[in-house]
Amino acid sequence: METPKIFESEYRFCLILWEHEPVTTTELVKLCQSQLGWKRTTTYTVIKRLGERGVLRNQDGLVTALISKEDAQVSEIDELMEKKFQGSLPAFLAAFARRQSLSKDEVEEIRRIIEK
Amino acid sequence: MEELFLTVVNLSLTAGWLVLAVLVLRLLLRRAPKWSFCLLWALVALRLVCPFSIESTLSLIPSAQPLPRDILYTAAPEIQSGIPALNSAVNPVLQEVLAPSPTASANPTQIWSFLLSQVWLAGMILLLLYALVSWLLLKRRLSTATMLEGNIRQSERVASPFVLGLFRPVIYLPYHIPEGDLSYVLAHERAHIRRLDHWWKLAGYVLLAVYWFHPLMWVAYVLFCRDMEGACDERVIRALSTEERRGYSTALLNCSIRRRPVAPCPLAFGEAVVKSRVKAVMSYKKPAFWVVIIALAACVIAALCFLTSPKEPTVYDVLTQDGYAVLSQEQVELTLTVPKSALTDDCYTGKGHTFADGQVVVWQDDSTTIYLHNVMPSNEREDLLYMTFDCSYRFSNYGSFVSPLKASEDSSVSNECTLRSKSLRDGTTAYPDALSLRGYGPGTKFTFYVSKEACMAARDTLMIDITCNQVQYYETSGEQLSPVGYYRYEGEGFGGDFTLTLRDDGSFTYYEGGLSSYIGAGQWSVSGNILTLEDETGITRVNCFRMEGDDLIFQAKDSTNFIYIKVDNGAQFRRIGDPPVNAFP
Repeated sequence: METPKIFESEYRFCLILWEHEPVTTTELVKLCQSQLGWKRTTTYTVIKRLGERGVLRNQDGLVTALISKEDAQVSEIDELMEKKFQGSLPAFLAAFARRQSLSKDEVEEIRRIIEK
Repeated sequence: MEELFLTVVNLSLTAGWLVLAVLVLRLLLRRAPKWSFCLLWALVALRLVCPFSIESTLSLIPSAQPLPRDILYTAAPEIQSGIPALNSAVNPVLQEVLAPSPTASANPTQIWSFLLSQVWLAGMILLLLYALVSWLLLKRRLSTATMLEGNIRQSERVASPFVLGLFRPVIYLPYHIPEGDLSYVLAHERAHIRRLDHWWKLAGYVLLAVYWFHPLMWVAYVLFCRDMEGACDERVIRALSTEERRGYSTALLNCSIRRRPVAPCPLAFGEAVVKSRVKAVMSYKKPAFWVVIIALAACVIAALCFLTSPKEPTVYDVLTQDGYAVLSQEQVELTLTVPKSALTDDCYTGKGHTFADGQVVVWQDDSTTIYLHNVMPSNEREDLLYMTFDCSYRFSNYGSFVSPLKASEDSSVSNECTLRSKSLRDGTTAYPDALSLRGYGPGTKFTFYVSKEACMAARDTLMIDITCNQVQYYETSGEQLSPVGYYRYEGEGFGGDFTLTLRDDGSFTYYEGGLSSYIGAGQWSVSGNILTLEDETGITRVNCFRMEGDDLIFQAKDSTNFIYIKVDNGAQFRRIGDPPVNAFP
């Protein structure tokens, strides 16, 4: 069976789940609130999403993992899919740097400026 | 809405000059700290936000209201850009295209301003909606971001670090930032938060959304964002060693390249921003004290010259015909009061001139009278009450009474009266949109249109305020006005008549009355229509008069006044004859 996709933030959630399973959803909400800073709704959404992907099972409010920590593999977000999103970062954000299309030469040139 | 749009356009045009100035200053002050640029941009924002400004002679803005308020209603729309060449190029075209035709029911200026203001509004709403929607989407995508510590969160949806949120700003980071980069990235983002950049940037965006139609505002916004990053960089690296600056620059570079190298994009334009930032970081030197002083001085000067508006001219540029020169100008303000209940007769002006038999004197002085004839109040039309009247004087295409109001028979002086503003009000409320004025062609009847809505809403009297600029011309081909004569002060002298003698050899004497022990004497001089007497008796006295017809009108403002008699401003010295032959009056 192919291992289901887990993204980094979901992986952090799973770490909590593996440590405490089987665990009630209310308990999970509390744990996620304190350790990840998640809202109640966020935790429920993630439980549902991972349930649909076959990562966990939520039976009558009791959550158990379907794959083990050893089997889990963290997926990278598909950069192509996200490109559109990053390109439309709202203009009012204060950002450290914007992603740019830099050619290899340009990167090299900037590195030279830094090393000088 | 059209009024608001007009205000916004006027503000954007005046702010445009400031943006141009900032662009020049940015080039000149390349070595100045970046925060001074931010200060300059803040001035731009202030200019855009604040509809009022102090009048100052230092102002370099050509015109505070390039589009005058009454452009929406006037028969002869014109711009007042403050640049004569532009005005004379644009205004004839404007008036050709936009002048209301007597037969059409709507004024083309109003149609156009309505359409344009709707487009403006739509654009603004679109830009604000875009921001709101992308903010909501972003919030949703970031909901699973996990807490690293305090207000720092990480998400796989984040490609490059940023700050989001206004009251409780949160720093969002991607996962797996190289250990060495993390401290620099956080230092930068924390500096943003300390500088309240997340607020400034939002304010900048909102202003951009309002002024989106002005291309310079887009330039300003992009450069403002860049300068803000630069200022933030400078704040962080001020205390860093060269080695640490290398680390900071590397972090900058790492965060700006996509994880997968991309082929050079043909659409990418301009220099890569990260390159100029890295250059700036690596070559940063603490600015010398005098550079900081110069930068601050530049900000202050920019504020003085561009946040102020030019002094509203009390003397207008007047086009004169060949052979004529301007003798004097005077603002004339008058109020035409129209009882709502009796729109048939009994209209009277603020100066107490009543009219009957359909004739009204709206303004009068010794040399000038403006009559309105055949005033015909009417409410024939559905939506407008209107009053029509013939004016004794031609009402030109340029919104002015142009022909001489009264060509004096004995002198070469003639008058012109230009309508500068008009507005409708009752005792409590002003109805800026309610009054329109139409007049076509020379010698025509022209009409004040008053909207019925305003008439209904108004209390029992309607008042029409009119400001005219009255100009007196004299023929230059004729002889220069000469004040030579023997004059007497209209008021009480100091024990007898106060007399003044102006002789044709250029000398003057005055004697304030029989009890006076002082005889003023010196040379008189004339400039335009202003006569100046400067005593040459060892006592410093300068007194000015305006020459009006045969009389001299005292100008207290520019005068030191006399010794025994304090003459009021505007007091008359009447000519009573030729200078007496004997030396003393």
